[in-house]
Amino acid sequence: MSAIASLISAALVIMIYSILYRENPLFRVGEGILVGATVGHAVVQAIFNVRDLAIIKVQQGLATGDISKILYVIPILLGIGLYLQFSKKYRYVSKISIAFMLSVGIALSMRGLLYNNVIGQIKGAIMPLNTIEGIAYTIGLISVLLYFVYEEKTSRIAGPLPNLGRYVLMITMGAYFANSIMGRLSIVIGTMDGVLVTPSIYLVPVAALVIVADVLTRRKQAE
Amino acid sequence: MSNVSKQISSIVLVVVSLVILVDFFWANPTLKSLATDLNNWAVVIGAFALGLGAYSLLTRHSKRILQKKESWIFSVLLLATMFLFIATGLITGSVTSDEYNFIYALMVQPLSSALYGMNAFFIASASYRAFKAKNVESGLLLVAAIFLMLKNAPIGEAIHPILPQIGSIFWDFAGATGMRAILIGIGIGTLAIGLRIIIGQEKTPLGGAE
Amino acid sequence: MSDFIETLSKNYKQVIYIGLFLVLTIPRVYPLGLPIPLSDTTMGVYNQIEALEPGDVVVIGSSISASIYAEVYPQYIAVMRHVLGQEGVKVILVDHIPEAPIFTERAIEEANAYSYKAYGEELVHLGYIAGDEAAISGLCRDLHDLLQVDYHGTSISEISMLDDINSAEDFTIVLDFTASADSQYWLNQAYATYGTKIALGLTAVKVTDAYAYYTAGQIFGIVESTKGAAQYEILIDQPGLAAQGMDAQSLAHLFFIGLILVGNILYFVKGGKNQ
Repeated sequence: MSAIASLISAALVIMIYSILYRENPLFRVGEGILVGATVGHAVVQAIFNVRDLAIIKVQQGLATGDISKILYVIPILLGIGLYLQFSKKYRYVSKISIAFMLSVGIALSMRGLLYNNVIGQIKGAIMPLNTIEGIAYTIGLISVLLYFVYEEKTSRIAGPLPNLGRYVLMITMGAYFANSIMGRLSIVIGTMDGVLVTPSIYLVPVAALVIVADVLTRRKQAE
Repeated sequence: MSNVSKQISSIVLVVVSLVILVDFFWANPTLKSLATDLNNWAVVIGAFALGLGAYSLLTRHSKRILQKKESWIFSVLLLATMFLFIATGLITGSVTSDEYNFIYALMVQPLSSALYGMNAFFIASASYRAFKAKNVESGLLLVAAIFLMLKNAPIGEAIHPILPQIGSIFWDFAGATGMRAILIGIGIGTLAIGLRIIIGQEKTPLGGAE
Repeated sequence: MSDFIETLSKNYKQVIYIGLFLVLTIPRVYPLGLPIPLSDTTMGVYNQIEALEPGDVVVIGSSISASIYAEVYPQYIAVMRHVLGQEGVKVILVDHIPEAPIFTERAIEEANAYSYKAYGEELVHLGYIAGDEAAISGLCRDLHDLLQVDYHGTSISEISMLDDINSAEDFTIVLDFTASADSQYWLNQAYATYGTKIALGLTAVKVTDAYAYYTAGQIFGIVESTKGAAQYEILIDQPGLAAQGMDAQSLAHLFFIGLILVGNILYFVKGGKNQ
């Protein structure tokens, strides 16, 4: 990337981070550019995908007389139907398209999650109960599942296990927290890789001076 | 018309999902072929869905610009960027052309990673202000989080090898208990919601009662 | 002095932000050079790739976007380099989000992929396929029925390496690099239906979900965030950005622990009242 391009990219990063100081128009500029770019990119991909996954098939079907390929006109029409949700008069048509997508999505999820999340995880949970680990993990798992069922309510059958489940969940939340810190730090470190290099690094003291000037100006105005 | 489409939607929902569900359990060539076609049709409809956000943004921000509402200038910027990317992608015919790569690396990459990484700073201030051991549960969370952080970063091992080992105990315990229970819960929950949607008990995905 | 302390405690957020910035910057000037221990999850991925034989088919899925680039791209390219170095192994690259093809092509260039594998004979990039789980399901069912062209517009029927690759039955392993739900989709569609071996390269937040699959034996490895990327770079003897960034990670983690402890000490010193 050229020096000017690096400076522009670094300036955009600093514009976003300026929100850490206070809300300002520069942050909104960066936000607007990002949203526009992301959506524009999605549109381009949508066009290419529709061409490659459907239009080419229909063209081939018409050329060879293959009915199964010509029938791809149906999902094309259903896809266009999705946009009718923006019309008050014809919104009902989009429900058929949504129903189609929803049904495929649900069915695929249900098949997979039953096998992976329910059967697979229960199989994975079965372990010998002649070790401390085995006992601790089994009791821990059962107590969390009971907590999901009973929550704060008391139960003679479950006894103290739902309460124990809460504590086990707190350890799990600690794991999520620790990992989310590592994740976010990774991204900041990566972002800084683009800023803390010449010539972009010279923008950092410039930004710091701008902030100091703003602080002093606002303090003076407050007095 | 609305009632007819509701009925058609319900029939589509039941028939399509049953075909795909049954195909998982019954190896029948005709059923497999039908399920594959229905699956691939959903892929095509999914491609169309990518453009929905653009349509929505276009209508909302155009209105803002035409009515010169507050901060309308940012809407101009947003739409201009959107059209720049669309035009560049369509003219060059690829999202990995040199020109497209240039504007993507120039704008999207730094902005997106900066926005996403900003959370690190917010988590830092929250760690100081809000993360207090006010009771046993929060104390447990805190202790587990600290040892896991020492496991995640090489510094833990450098300070003392016991620290990441304790972190690993917490990690393995959390993995075998809490994380596993959450996955089982997600699985059972999805099955329940899916069945409710298929048998028509859950109407909200299709817009509820209209 | 008390004015200074009062100003600091009123503006504690900005003090923390500046502190975090400094802590992330210092290792660039004074690297710590801490050793990076290897984890079982990363070794699982490495060993499986080492065990690949000529004729095996590796599918590498990607949901890398600009927002997770710093965390997942180093893993992606390290693992890709390793896979490309396995002789006779066929590699299929596929994308699950609109932004991913940009990073896939970038990785192909950076890893010098064409010097290891001839395109169309041992390497193919299928590009982005919309439809989330339906797309992955379609790939696993019948690749030739779903797709007509690859990313570059070449007809699938003209790509010789795909002649005998039709469905997930023909995939040896699948490696998915993501922060999204497509890790679940590959498990649901490839592992659940065809028993395909799967490993994941994930952001740190997603690792907590995936670890239960690893301990249940449903996936054979996880490359965990930048830490996993750094470990993998060391394993393939090509240290890169991830390995360099681990010093900053170490100091920043200590900083966070320090903040938590200071916050709690002050909380208890003030008798359990928030300042």
